[in-house]
Amino acid sequence: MPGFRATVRVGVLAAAALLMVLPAIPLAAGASPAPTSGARPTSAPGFSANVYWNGADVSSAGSPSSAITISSYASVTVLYFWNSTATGAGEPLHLYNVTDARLAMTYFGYALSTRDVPPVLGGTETRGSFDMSWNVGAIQYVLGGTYLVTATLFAANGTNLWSENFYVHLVPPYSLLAIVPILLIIIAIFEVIAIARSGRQAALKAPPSAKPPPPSSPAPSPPPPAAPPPTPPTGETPPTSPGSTPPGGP
Amino acid sequence: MSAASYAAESGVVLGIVFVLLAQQFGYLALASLTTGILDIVIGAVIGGVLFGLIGWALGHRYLRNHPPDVTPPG
Repeated sequence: MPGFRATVRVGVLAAAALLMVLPAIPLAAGASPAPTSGARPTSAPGFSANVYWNGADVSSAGSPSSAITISSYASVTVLYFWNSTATGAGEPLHLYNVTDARLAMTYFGYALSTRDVPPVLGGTETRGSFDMSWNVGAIQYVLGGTYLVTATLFAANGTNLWSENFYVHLVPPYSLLAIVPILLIIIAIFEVIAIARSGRQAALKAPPSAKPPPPSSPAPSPPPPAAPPPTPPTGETPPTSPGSTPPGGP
Repeated sequence: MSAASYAAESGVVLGIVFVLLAQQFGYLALASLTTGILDIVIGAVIGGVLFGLIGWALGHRYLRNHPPDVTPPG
């Protein structure tokens, strides 16, 4: 049983290492990591935007409890609308050249999945929009749960013009069929069984049962009984040795 | 190994598994590395202490129901 427990422990460490390393593996399109801060970033002055996730404004999903629930195998349409706003009375609207929109799913501070709209080579505008089709990809068979997603708009020179954090709740197929939750449940079951049997460990640690003391007069142990002579074959007389009594004697 | 330490060892693993499962089922968001690791450490500590106490109680109950075979000398 200790060997089995050690195997379970190795499994837990492997799962934890997988969860830590997995975000560093680029599983989806996109190159650069997403911002790792969970705080809502500020936008450039005179710039505002809205993002709609399958028609729902993502600003309403700013906490894990209000996360947008999606099925992992479903494709999501994300719409970005941006516009320039006046910074003061009588000020002209700023012109922006927004060329890229990015969506990044963050886990343990790393971008688990990123998706970019192909760059748009346009001129400066006061308003614009992007639309993006997004799905989870291969991660749906590995992970589920609530994740922080960051939507970002970039200028042509790579400047972050606007970004917003929101949460999505990724439901794996049949609510459970992903590798990590199944593995975690199996580990939890084995550990609960181990805890339920932990009481027996007290018996192992208890003092050994006291044996009665040996007799006070130690006597030499008798020699082991001699092995019986081999049975002679039928019809033969066993050889007699000097001093021995023949069978049927006085 | 005593029953308490045996159960505490399993409780640490269970605490970590519980935090990861809570994230997997949407009750927790491990978005930041710092807070994520902090959540895991808190889960491990709580699991170790809680199940250590449970293991201690289970050990006492087991010894009460299965007393060691002690024969008085003489």
